[in-house]
Amino acid sequence: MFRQVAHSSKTSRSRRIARVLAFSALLLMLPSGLTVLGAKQPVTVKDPGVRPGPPDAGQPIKGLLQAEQTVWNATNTTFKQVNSVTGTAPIGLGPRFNSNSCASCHSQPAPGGASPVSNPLFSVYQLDGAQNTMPFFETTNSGALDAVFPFLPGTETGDGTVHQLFTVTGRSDASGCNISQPTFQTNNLALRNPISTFGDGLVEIILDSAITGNASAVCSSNTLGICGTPNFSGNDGTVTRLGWKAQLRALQPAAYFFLNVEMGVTNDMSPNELDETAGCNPNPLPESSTNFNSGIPVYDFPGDGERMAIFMRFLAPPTPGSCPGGKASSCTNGQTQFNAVGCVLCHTTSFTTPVTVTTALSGITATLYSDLVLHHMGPCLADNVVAGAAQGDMFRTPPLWGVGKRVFFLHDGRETDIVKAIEDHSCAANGQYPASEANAVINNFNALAGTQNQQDLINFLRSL
Amino acid sequence: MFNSGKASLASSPKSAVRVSIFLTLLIFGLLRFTAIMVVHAQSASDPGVRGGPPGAGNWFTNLTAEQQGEFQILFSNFTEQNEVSIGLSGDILRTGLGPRFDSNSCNSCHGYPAPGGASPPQNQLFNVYQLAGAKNEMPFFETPNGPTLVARFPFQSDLKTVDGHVHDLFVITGRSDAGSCNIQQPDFVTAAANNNLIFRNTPITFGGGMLEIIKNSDLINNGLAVCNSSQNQGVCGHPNLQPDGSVGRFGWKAQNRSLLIFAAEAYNVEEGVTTEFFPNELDETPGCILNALPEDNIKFDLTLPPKRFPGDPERFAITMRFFAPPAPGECPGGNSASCTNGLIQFNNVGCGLCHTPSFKTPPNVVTPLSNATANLFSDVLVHHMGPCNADNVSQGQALGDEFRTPPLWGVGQRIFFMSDGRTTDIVQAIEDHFCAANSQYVASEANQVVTNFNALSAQNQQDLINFLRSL
Repeated sequence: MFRQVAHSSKTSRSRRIARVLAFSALLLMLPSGLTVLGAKQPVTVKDPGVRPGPPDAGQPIKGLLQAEQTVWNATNTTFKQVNSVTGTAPIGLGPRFNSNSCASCHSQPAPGGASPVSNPLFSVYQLDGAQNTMPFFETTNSGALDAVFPFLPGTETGDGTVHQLFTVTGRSDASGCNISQPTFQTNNLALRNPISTFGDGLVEIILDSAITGNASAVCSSNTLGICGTPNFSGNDGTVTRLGWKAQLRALQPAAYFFLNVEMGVTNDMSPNELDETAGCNPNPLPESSTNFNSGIPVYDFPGDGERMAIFMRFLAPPTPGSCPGGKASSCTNGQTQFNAVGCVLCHTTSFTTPVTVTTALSGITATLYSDLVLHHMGPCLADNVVAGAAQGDMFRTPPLWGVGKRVFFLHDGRETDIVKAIEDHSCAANGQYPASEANAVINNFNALAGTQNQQDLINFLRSL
Repeated sequence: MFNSGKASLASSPKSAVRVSIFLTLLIFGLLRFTAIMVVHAQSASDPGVRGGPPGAGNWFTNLTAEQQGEFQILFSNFTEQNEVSIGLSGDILRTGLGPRFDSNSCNSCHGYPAPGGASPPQNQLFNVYQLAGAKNEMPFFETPNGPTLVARFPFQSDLKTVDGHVHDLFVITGRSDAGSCNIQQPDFVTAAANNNLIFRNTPITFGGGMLEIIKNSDLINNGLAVCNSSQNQGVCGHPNLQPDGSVGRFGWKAQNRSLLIFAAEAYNVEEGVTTEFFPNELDETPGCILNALPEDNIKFDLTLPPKRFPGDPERFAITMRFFAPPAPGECPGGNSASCTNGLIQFNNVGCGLCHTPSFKTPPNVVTPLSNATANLFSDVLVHHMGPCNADNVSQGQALGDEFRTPPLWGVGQRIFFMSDGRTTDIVQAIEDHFCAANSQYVASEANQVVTNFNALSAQNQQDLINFLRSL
């Protein structure tokens, strides 16, 4: 994994050198006449960075009914609550965990979002006396990263599960538990960067046939080698669509799943601890469960997974902001270029939701810039993790709404520069995996080098 | 066509199996200078479904008053009959059936010996398939006194690409509450002709609350202990691990982790009711999506009782979670010593290697589920069961020839046995555990144990059968 990261940054370094050489070549041409003609200086494309100003995300979607709004306000608290191991509710953290709250990793630019610029795990890992050491791949400015082992350690058998970074050992509310953190080895480590959940209430309800129909139309019509495949639920056969490998079907099962996987809170869908070492399971199971007490608010009847799902379902999609540099025409042209070079073949502009029981989510154009299907992305991005129909080199097209506010790019958060993130889509085949489906599109993008068109495309992305 | 397809898979290897059992036993007997054991094979008879009260279908008695007080509404969800749209009964809470479905209620298949159970003696699908004007034909494999069977296609129509999903038997076309929806039932005849049709019989849900909460490590360690034992008779199962590394435990392939996810899945797959867990229809043909999605949903009405807030899967799951396990009944024949000896024989021959007698639940927030002994007679792992039982469907880590050890609690009142309900005779069901390898699949892990069973004396064998029918 890390070898690949290193390799890839070497690749992008050589690309940078190539760009410098190309630029120098252009400079050499200048005296021979272009300056005479008074032409503009070539444009060196640059990521304007995270768009400043208000978050443009984190609010509930417009049009909720009064009762829906009331419940959403309560679920907002659940999403931000900090779990402890034992004691006063909310309890259930650990025995292994990545963090102690949803909002710790999903917070940029607002609760529900992606990883904040300053790694939140540094304020969690030794909380309350925990004796954790920080894994080598987490740095104060790396973003919060999850660790997945592609293989069972020392074998060629697939694993693919999250291995939680931390344990509760040493915490004052976890007496009697004594377990060690996993041994993280660079040759068996896939890292995962948190994904923004804004607008996922729209994403989860898009018709399967709309997703599969769009994907097959792209397959049969484009000449750039792009042809994605949906991932499917083993449960009911419908199109799964959330997560880096589109391995998750909907917010509700995902919320229950991650409540245990990320925080260690057992619940009605995932009722057992993921580490059952004696002394480490202090609470009756499941730790977050149906509440049968009388006189509770109606939304407190089910466990936290239900409330977390409601919170995310009703989060509005990110709102585009002003065009970086202040020229709206730059972003208008940027979108034209985005479509022309072929980004849009995977980053499908929009889907419309069907009629849903929630009026606010019904018949809405979701401008998500994703086809929600899987693509081969080449050995440079491959993480060897298999998830359903997603092979080790396949990833879901990440939605780009809100990308203007995103700090970290690609599944492992390897880039903070959106231009590099685009370049990282390009990768040749090796003996194990085919070439990235994006190669021809990246060539088209690179053919814009030195022009305002390329900068406009970047500005457009950062306006989202 | 089904008979020809399935018979070649099941019957002929079975007769070969019997010959090989005979030969094995004969050689074994000669070596020991005794031939007594050989004559006893197949001599036991199944006393049949145990009479008397169901011994199942009630909630635990030691729930809190608040939990017990929810029984009526939660249980009524389990037995309610769903309709397509609001046109029929006017009850919005019962809409969502189809466009494709196997039945219209949980209870119609999970009905015996009480709601929550297994397939009843009369196939309830005959009361459902043409309800409200539906134009369905009854697939050839469903019979009035046969098990309610769900169909899966191992492969897509190219017979190469993996499928494995449930193909619902019926469509809503023609129903008075189904508008202009016009779709066809799957072509089961062609699928059978292509040897691309497998069946699943309804498992019970009683005791599911205990089953879902048994520690992962207890299940894994029990399995490892058997694998590592020199007396394991060739038995060595493995868990069907889930994406979070926990042990799957419900369904014929242990593919479902918990009652909640199972309930949500079955609601969409068996009845076509979309939920917050699986919010889209399985068939999106224009004219066939007749309701806003998901059809079953959270009720944002702050004046309702709290139990009305979440969707039906939560209520189904609670209902099943609170079902007590089946209580063993009287020993068939009335001689309890027979069943006591039967349990000893059950363990002696090695049935208990997979059908682990019990697990203890860890501390739980629900009193009756906490530190309780679950006498489920299952290791909850999947095992190779040979080509005679293989259905070529992979689910998670369970391959085409692997099945979860079905829990035996309540087996005394079960009518249909094996994944596809192929037999109603429990003795035959035991014999069906035996199967030689072929070029595709390894031999059944149960072969030695079934050989041991066949070697029992007539009385010991009958006692073992009586014991099972007392459960």
